[in-house]
Amino acid sequence: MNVLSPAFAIAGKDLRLELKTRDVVASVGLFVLLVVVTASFSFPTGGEGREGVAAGVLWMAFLFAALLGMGRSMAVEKEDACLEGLLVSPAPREAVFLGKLFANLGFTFAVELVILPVFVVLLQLRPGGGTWLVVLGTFLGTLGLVTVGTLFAAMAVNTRGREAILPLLVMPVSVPAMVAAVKVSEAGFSGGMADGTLSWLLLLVGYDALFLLVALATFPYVTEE
Amino acid sequence: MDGRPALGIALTQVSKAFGAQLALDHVDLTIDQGSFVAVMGANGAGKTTLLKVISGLAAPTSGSVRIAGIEMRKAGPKLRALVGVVSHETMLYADLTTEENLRFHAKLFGLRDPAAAVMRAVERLDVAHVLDKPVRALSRGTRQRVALARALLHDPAVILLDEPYTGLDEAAAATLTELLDELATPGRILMLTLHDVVRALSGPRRLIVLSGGRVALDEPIAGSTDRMAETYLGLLRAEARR
Repeated sequence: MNVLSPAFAIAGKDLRLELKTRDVVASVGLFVLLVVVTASFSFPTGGEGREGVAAGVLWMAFLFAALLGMGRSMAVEKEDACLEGLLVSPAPREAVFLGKLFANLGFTFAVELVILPVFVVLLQLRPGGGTWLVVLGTFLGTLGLVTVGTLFAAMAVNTRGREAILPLLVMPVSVPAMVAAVKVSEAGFSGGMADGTLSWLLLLVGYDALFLLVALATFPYVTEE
Repeated sequence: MDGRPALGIALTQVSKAFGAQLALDHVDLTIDQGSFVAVMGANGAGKTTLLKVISGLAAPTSGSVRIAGIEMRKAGPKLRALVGVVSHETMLYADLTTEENLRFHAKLFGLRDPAAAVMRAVERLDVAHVLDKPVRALSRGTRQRVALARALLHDPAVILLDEPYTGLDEAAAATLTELLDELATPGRILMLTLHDVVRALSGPRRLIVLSGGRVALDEPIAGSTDRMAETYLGLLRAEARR
């Protein structure tokens, strides 16, 4: 059996569940919107370095929102032993990971794409020609966060207090991706590539590739009792 | 089932530890094709762990599990395609309908015609009338039948049932018993864990009793079952005194 076919089946199942319950998108979307609106009241309307602060605020919101969504997404698998249902199927364990990753990435990135224009308007940012860089940075940063988060969510799902454990596991590991994503978003909000932006982009790509490989290699052991 | 090569399950010196807790302790078992086996024992005796090890959900700490002569650790996905698992938890998504759940699992098993497989399974389990209902809205008995339909979608050669009678009323339990009798064909291995000694001795043809992770009794069920029931209850009492 190939890996992608069951992975898409799992992602499709998560999409169908989400369309019915709106659990993940509603909680993640509301949380990010709340942070963005709150930030807009305290944000300076002028001055140097606004873009950097804005990028920092944005990624704080994205990080916590992603954690919220991934925790919920894996909790659904815990109910009625659904995760066991996936694991007793002939689908390779890597396919189960990829399926959850695709779904988490899809939900989180979709919410971010909706929130980004709101954020730009409320904080009176003018990315102009740097919009593509903001979107690219958001995608790569989210991919890194979600890759690490999906793996750790699977590890935490059988523990007591998993909601508290997941951030503790994800946050330290996601620091490089967060820093790079903030730097890329800052450049994007400032209008385009700046000195060093390419290096931050490459760091993000490298982080994503590395943790994708690590997650694919370790997920089978994480899910085995 | 016809035309498949003969298969059996062989556990060799299988131990499974969870931290310091030894759930299975050097278990040796051979289960031939056509077997209908009841696995009994007190809570914590290792019944569920035994099924998990056979289904590939848990890896043995030591020893080997073979199905059809193939080591589970080496060919997990291929062997899992031969196995259907039912537990007292349904493994169904409560917010999806019966049909959505079954179609999803049919795709996971890589079935060529998921729609046809779903129809065959729901007709066999008499749950076609709840195809469009969310699993959350079904009674416990109906959910269990849908869970069985899920496990039978790919017509597995090995069916493992972990306490399938849990939470069923008498009518649903009787239906399940009939279904198990029907499924116990010469081409299959049927293995279930349960606590009810009367049920264990009325359908299955072999009784395995686990105690402290070890095989305490392994006998064919034939003739008078009173002695086996007494032996089993004696083992339970001895375990309770420990």
